Amino acid sequence: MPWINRGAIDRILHEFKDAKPIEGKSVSGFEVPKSRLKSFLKHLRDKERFVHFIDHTLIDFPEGKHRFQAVYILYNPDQNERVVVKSWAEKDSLPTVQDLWAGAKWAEREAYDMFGVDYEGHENLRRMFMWEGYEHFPLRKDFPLGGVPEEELPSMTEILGGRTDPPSHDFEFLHTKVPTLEDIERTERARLKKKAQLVLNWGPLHPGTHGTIWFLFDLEGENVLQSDVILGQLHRGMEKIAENLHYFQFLPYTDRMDYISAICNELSYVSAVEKLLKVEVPEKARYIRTLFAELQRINSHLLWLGTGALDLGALTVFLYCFREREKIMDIIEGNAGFRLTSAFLRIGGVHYDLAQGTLDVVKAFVKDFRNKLKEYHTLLTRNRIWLRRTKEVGIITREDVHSYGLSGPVARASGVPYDLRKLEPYAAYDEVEFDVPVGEVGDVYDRYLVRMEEMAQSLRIVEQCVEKLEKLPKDAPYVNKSHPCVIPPKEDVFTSLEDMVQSFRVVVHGESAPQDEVFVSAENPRGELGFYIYSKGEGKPYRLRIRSGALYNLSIFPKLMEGRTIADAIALLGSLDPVVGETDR
Amino acid sequence: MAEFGIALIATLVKVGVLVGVVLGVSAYLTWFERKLAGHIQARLGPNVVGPFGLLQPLADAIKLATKESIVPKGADVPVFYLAIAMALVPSLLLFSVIPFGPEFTLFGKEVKPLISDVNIGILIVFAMGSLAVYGTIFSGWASNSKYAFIGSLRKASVIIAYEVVLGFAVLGVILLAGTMSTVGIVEAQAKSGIWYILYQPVAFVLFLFCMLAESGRVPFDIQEAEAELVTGYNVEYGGMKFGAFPLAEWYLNVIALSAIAVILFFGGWSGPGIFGALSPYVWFLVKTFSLVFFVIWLHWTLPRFQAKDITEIAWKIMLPLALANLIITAVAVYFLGG
Amino acid sequence: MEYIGFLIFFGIMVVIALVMVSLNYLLGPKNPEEWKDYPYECGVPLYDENAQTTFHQGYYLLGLLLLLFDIEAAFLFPWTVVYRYLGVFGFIEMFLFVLILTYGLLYAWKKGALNWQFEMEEE
Repeated sequence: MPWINRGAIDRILHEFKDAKPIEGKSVSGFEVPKSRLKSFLKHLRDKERFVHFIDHTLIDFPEGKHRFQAVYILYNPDQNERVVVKSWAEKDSLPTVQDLWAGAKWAEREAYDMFGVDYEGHENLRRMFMWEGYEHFPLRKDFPLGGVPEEELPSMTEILGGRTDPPSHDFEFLHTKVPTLEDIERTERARLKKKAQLVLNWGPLHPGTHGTIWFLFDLEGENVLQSDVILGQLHRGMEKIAENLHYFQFLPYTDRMDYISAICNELSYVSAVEKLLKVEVPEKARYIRTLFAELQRINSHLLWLGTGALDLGALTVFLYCFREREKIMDIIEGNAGFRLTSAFLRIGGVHYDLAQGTLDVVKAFVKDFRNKLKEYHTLLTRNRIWLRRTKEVGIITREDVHSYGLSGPVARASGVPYDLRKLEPYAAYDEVEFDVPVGEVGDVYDRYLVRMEEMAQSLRIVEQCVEKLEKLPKDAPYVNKSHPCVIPPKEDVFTSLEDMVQSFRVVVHGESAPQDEVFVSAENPRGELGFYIYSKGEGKPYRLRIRSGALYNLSIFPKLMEGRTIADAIALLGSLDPVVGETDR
Repeated sequence: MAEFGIALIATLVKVGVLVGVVLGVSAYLTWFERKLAGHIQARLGPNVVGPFGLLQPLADAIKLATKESIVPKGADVPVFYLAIAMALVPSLLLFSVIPFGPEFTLFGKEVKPLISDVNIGILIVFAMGSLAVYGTIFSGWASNSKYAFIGSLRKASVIIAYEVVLGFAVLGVILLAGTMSTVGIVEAQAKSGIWYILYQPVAFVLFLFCMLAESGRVPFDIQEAEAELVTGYNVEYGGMKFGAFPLAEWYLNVIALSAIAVILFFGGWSGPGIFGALSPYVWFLVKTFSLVFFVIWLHWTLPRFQAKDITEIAWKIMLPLALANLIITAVAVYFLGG
Repeated sequence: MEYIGFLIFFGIMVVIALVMVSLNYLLGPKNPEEWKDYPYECGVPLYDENAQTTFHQGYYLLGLLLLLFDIEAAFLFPWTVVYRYLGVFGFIEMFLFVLILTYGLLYAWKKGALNWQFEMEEE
C-alpha cells in the first residue's frame, strides 16, 4: 500500500508550518508538536480524508528530551494511502483523539497501560491488560524483561495450605507481583459504574467467549444497558519479548498470537521483516506461502463457523466443521511438522520444500470441500431460526468501520472493500485471481455470508497456487539464501560450508537491519494484522508494535451491545470473531 | 375390604413396574440420544463402556452418585433441595394418566394398564406441566447465581406462554372426543377408526411446539443455552442433584409428552393386531418413540431461538391460531355432529 | 380408588426424589474448601454479591397474562366435555366467551404487553 503522496505532503505542510515531514524511511508522514497534534489530526481526517484509524502506539526513548514518541497511523480509503503522524509526549501526556476516532479509546488505554502516558480528556483511562493498582509500565525500556521481583511471595506449597501437590519449583524469594482478589475486584469496579439491576460477569471462564475475555454486562432484565470488556488474561507481553529477540527468533511467537491462523500471522510478520531487510522471496516460496495462508484462512473460518453455530445452538455444524479442519491440519502437519503453531515460514522463504504428494492431497481437499460448503449453506443459510438470530443484529455502519478501525470480514460486511490482499498485495496475491465479497447491511448475517464466500474464494486461490506450483520445477529454490540476513535451509547448512557460516552468523549476531521504520500489514482471517517495526540498526527491533485486527474489531462490541440481550451477545461476539491470543498478545 | 386390598396391591405393582420401566427407559434414552447424536454428527458416540457403550448410563449414574455434595454460598438451602423434587415429581406424575394399552383380564380381574383412570386425565397433564415451572424457578432463585437466575426467569416466561397455548390447542381434541379421560380419548379414536391428527393438524403442530418448549429441547432450550448461560438454572447443582434436571426435563418430560401426543392425536394404542396380545403395547411404544426420535433429531439439527422470539411467537402467532382452531372445531362439531 | 393410585404414585415419587437429593451426601466425598462454594460467575469476584435481587417487571406482567388466559382456558375445559349436550345455547355462549377472550388478547397486544420486556417503551 503506498504511503501519502508528495502533493498531499506539500499541501499539508503549507497548512501547518510547524509540521516536519518524515523522509528517508520506509514510511512517510509528519512530525508535529504536541500543541498542534489534535488540530493536525483533525485536519487530516476532515480535509484529507484520512478517515480510517489504523493504529496508535508509543515508542520509549529514555535518554531523550521528551521520553515518549507517539505514533499514529491513518488510512485514506479514497486514495488508498497511509500516513504516519508522530509527536513527542511532552510532560508524559498527550491529548486524546478518542473523539476523532472511537478506535483510539482502546489504543490509548493500552498505551497508558504499557507506558504510563496520560491522555487528557479520555473518558475512562484504565489499565488495559494489567490490573488496577499495578504501579509499573511494562513496555518502558527500564522495565526488566523478567518483571520486577518485588513481592515476597510464599512458595506455592504454602499457598496451597501445606499441600505439597503440585510441588513448587520456583525457589526464588522475590517474585513479580500477581493480582490479588482485591486488585481484580478494583479492576472490575473501575470499568463500569452500575446503573441497572445486575452486573453480570460474562467470562473469562465461559464457553461463549471463546477464550478468556471478560465482559461486564449491566443488565435490566435481559437487556444490556452498558457493557465493557476486560482483557489481559492472556497477556504475555509479546512486544516486550520481541524487543529482546533477533528477528528470526520472534517468528514462533507470532504463531501464538492468533493461534487459529498461525501461518497468516507468520506471513504478516515475515513480510514486514523482509521489507525492513529488503529481502527478495523466490517465486516458489511465495506460492507456497499463499497456498498455506489460504488453507489456514479456510481453517480459521471453519472454526469461526463451527463455534458460532455452536453458540447459537446448532450443535452439529460444529462437528461438521471440525471434520474438515482436521484435513487441513493434516496437510499443514505433513508440511510443517506441527498442526497448530506451525512455524512454517522463514524470513526469505519457507522452512521446508513442499512435502511429497501435498499438491494431490490439496486438490482432493478442494474438490471435496466445495460440496461441504454447500452442506453448511443447506444447514444454516436459509434456516428461519438462524435468520432470526442473525438478521438485523449488530449493524455496523461504514462510519463505524472507519472510526473504530475495523478490518477484515467485519469491515467488508459493512460494505467497505478493505482487503489488503488486493490493496497491498504481498506473497503471490497480485498474481492470482479472486473476488472480495462485501456485504450491504453490516449485520451478523452479512458477516456470516461474507466469511462463507471468502472460503469459496480461498478455494479459488488455492487451486491457482496448486496449478502454478505444479508447473514450477521441483528443485526451484524455496529460500533466498543469497541475502546475508537469511538463514539457509537446514539441508544446506549441514552440507555446505558457506551456508553453515551464514547460518552461524545470523543466529549469533542477528539480522543486521538498517535504521528504518516499516509498517506492513496483512489480511488475516480476523482482520488486519500489522507490524510496525522501529529499527535502530541492531540485530533486534528497538520497538515492535503489533496492530491486532481482532482487538480493534472487538472494541466496537460495547457499542453494539447497548440495549441488546445476552442472547444477542453471543451472536455478535461470534460474528466479530476475536481470538484472545491476538487481542491480548 | 379384601377388594380394596387387592386393588391396593395391584396399584403398588403397577407403580413399581412403571417407575422401574420409566426410569430405566429414560436412562437408556441418554445412551440412545448420544449414540444417535454421534451418528448425526459423523462420529461414534459412546462405545467404550460395555458392548456398544451399553453400560454408559450405569457408569454415568455411578459417577453422578459419588460426587461431592456442594451447596453454593448464600443459597437458600431448603429451596435449593426442594427444587430438585419439584422438577422430578411432576414430570414423573405425568405418567400416572398414560394408558399403555386397553383393559385386560388377569386372574379373573379387570386390569387397566394405567395407574389412575380419572375423568380429568388431560387436566392433570396441564397441572403437572404448570408445576414443573416451580422446579426451574426455585433452582434459579435458590442458587444465588446470576446465570441460574436469568435462566430460570427465561424458562418461566416460556412455560407461561406455552402453557396457555397448550391448553387452547388441546381443547379441540376434547371437543371431538367429548371427554377428558385419556382412556376415553383413545377409545373414541379407536371406535371411529380415525386418528385426531386428521381433524386437528394445527392443534398437533401447536402441541409439538409446546412439547419442545416445556421440555427445553432445541430450538427452545433457552434456559440452558450453554453458550450464553452455561446451562442456566442448574449451573450450581452437582452430582445426582444435577442429574435430576436433565433427567426430568429432557427425558421424562419428552417421553411423557410424546405419549400424551400419541394419545391425543395418533389413536394411542390402536393399530392393526399383527403382534397378537402384545399388539396395543407395541403400537403405543412404536408411536411414542417415533416422536421421541423426532424430538432428538430436531435437537441435533437446529439452532436455538432466543427468549424474546419464543415468547412472542407463542403469544402473537400460536395463541391466535389455537383460538381460531378452537372456534372452527366447535362450529364443525356443532353443524356436522362430530 | 383412582385417586388413591395417584396418591400412592405421588408418595413413591417423593421418595425417589429424596433419594436423588441425598445420594451425593451419602456416597460422595466431603472435602470442604474455602472457595468451593463460591457461586459460579466465570471465576472472577462477584460484582454484585447477591443474585437474589429485583428483576425486570416484564416477567411479572407475563405472569399476570398467564393467570388470565390459563384460568379462562380452565373455564373452557368443562364446556368442551359437555358441549354436545348444550345445544345452541352452549354454542353461542362459547362464541361470546372466546370473542371476549380474543378481544382481551388483542388489547394486551396493542398495549405492548406481549412484547418481550417492554421493548416498545424504549423505542
